[in-house]
Amino acid sequence: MTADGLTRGLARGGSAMLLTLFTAFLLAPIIVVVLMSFTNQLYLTFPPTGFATRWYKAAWNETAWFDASWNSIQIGAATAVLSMILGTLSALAVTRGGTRWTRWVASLVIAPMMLPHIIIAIGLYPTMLDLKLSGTYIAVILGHTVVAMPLVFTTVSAALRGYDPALEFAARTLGADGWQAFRHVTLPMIGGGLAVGGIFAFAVSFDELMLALFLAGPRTETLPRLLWEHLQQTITPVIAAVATLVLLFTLVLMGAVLQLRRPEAEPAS
Amino acid sequence: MTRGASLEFDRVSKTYGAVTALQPTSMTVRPGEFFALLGPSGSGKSTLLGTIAGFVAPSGGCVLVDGADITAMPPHRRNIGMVFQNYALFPYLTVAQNIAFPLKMRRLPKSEIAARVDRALEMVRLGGFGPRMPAQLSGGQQQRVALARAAVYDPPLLLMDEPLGALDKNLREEMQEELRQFHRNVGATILYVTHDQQEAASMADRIAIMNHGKAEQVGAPHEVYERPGNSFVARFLGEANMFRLRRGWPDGPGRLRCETEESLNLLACGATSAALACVRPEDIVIGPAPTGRENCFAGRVTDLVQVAGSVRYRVAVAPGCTLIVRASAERRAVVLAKDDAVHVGWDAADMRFLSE
Ligand SMILES: Nc1ncnc2c1ncn2[C@@H]1O[C@H](COP(=O)(O)OP(=O)(O)OP(=O)(O)O)[C@@H](O)[C@H]1O
Ligand SMILES: [Mg+2]
Repeated sequence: MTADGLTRGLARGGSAMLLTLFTAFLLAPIIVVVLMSFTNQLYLTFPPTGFATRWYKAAWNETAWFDASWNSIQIGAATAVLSMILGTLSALAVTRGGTRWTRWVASLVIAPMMLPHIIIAIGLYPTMLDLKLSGTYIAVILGHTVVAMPLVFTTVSAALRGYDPALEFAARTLGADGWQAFRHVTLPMIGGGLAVGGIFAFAVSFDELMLALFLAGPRTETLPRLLWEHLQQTITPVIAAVATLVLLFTLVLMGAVLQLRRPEAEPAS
Repeated sequence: MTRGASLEFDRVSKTYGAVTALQPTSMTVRPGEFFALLGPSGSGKSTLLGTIAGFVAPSGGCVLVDGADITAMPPHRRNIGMVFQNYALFPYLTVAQNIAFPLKMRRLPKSEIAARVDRALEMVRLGGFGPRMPAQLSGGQQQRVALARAAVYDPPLLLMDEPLGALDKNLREEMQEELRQFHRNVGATILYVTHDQQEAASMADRIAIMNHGKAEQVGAPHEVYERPGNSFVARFLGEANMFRLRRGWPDGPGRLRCETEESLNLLACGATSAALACVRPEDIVIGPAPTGRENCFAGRVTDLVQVAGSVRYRVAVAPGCTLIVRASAERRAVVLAKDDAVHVGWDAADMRFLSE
C-alpha cells in the first residue's frame, strides 16, 4: 500500500468513524428528544406511543417558559454585544499592537475557553456576592462574557490576520484619523468574523447552565436553568417540547453562521 | 498643477531593539523632483518612507516638509499621498468610492467629490471604470486606481513603495513611462522606492543608493553610474570590473600608475590612489589585434553570451583576473569565439578609484 493510499484509507476510516460517533452521540439524542416531545403520555417515554402536540400547548400556557426565554435572549444579546466589544479590542491589541505582551494577552483571553465552567462559577460566585450583584442580570452577563469573549476574540483575530494591514496605513495617509480608519476600514474588513463571533457568543450564553446556576436568581431565571429545575422535579414531556424548540432556534443560528461564512457574503455597498 | 514640496531628512534614524533599520540619514529632496530610493532588500527604504508617511516613529532626528518639522504629526494630517506595493485598495468599495475616500475624509461637498473622481479616473485612463470593484481589475489597472486615489487631493508630496513590483516586465515598462508622464503633469515631488536599478535610472532625476540602513551615495543616475563612490554602489548599478590595488605612484600630470593584486599595471586619471579601481564592461574595447589604448592587455575568451544588441565576453588576462567586456553590435564586425586569443584595452579616463 502506498503512503498516499494509506492516508486515503485512514481518511476514509476516519470519516466513517466520525459519522458513527456523530450519529450515536449527536443525532440519536436529538431524534429521541424530538420524538418524545410529541408523545401523548403523561411522562417521558421512549419509544413514544401516539402522537400529540399537547405538550407544546402545555408549554405555551405556562408563562414561566416565556419569562425564562426572554431572560435568556436578553442575557444572550447583552453577552454578545459585550463580547464583541471586548473581543474586538483584545484581538486588535494582540494582532496590531506591539510584540512583547501579545502572547501573554492572547493566552489570557483564550484561557476561559479551556477552564471548566464550574471553576469560573466558583470563582465568580463570592465576588458577585461581595459586589451585591448576585442574582442580577449584570452578574449573569459578566459571567457569560468571560466564557463567550474568547470566541469573538478568535474569529476577529482570524479576520484581522486575513488582510494586509497596509489597508489601515493607506486610510491614515488618505486623511482618516484613528477612529475613522477603524470605522471605514477595519470594521468592514472584520465584519463577517465579528458577526459570526457575536452569534457564537449569543449561542454560548443561550445554553449555558453552570454559570447561570451559580449567578442567576429567581428574577433572572434562564431557560437552561428552568429546564434543569424541571428535570429535577417533574419529568413531564414539556421538557422535551421546550428542548425541541431550543434546538430549532439553535439550527436557525447555525444557518446564519453558515450564511455569513460563505465566501460570496462579502459586504458590498 | 501642484507645487511640489521640498523634503529634508535631518539625521533620521530607526532601531528596533538591537536591529538598526536606519542609520542616521541626512538628505534633501528638491521641490518637484522625481527622487528614487534604490537599494537591496532590507536596506531601509521602506523604513525611510515610513518616517515621512508617519507609520514609523524615528528613533532620532527629524523629517521636514517645506521646512516644517512633521516628525510628530499624526499621519492623517500630513497631506502626503502614498502608493503601496500591493496597492492597498479597499476591496469592499468600488473604484470610484476608493478614489473618493480621501475627499470624503476632507468633507468636500458631494458634487465636487464626483467631479474630482471623474477627473482623476480620466487622468489615469480609467474613465468608465468607476462602478467596478477592485477585484474586477487587472494588476496594472489596480495600480492606476491606487495612483489616482493618492493624487486626487493634490498632495505636494507623493510616496511610492515599489509601486510596480507586482507587475510583469512589459507592463512595468509601460507603467514607468506613464508614471513619468504623470509626474510631468502634476508637478508634485515624488519619492520612489525600488530595488530595480534600471527602473530608478530611467525614471528618477536623482537617486539615493541605500545599503545597510544608510544612503551610500546621492546623485543623478549618470553621476552615480559613472562616478560610484564605493564598491557597493559600483556593483549595484550594473556590472563593474574591480581591481584591488597594492600601490600607486604619479605618472605624468594628473595620472597615476597603479599595481593590482594580480601585479597588473594600470594607468588611471586622478591625484591619489584608493583601495580599489574599476572599469565598466562597455568602456573596454576588444579585438584580435592590440587595441592601442592606455591600458592594454592580451587575454583569452573564456565565455561569451549574446545579449540584446551586444555581446558579453569573459576574458582571462592574468591568473585569477577575468574581465567582463561588453561589445556593442557595431564593434561586432570582427567575430570572436571562445578560446580566441584577444586583446582588450581602455583609456585611463575610464578608470575610477573607489573606496571599499
Ligand atoms: N517592525 C520591525 N521590527 C523589527 N525589524 C524591522 C521592522 N521593520 C523593519 N525591520 C528591519 O529593518 C530593516 C530595513 O527594513 P525595510 O523594510 O526598511 O527594508 P526595505 O529596504 O524596504 O526592504 P524591501 O526591499 O525588502 O522592502 C530590515 O532589516 C528589517 O528586517
Ligand atoms: Mg520595503
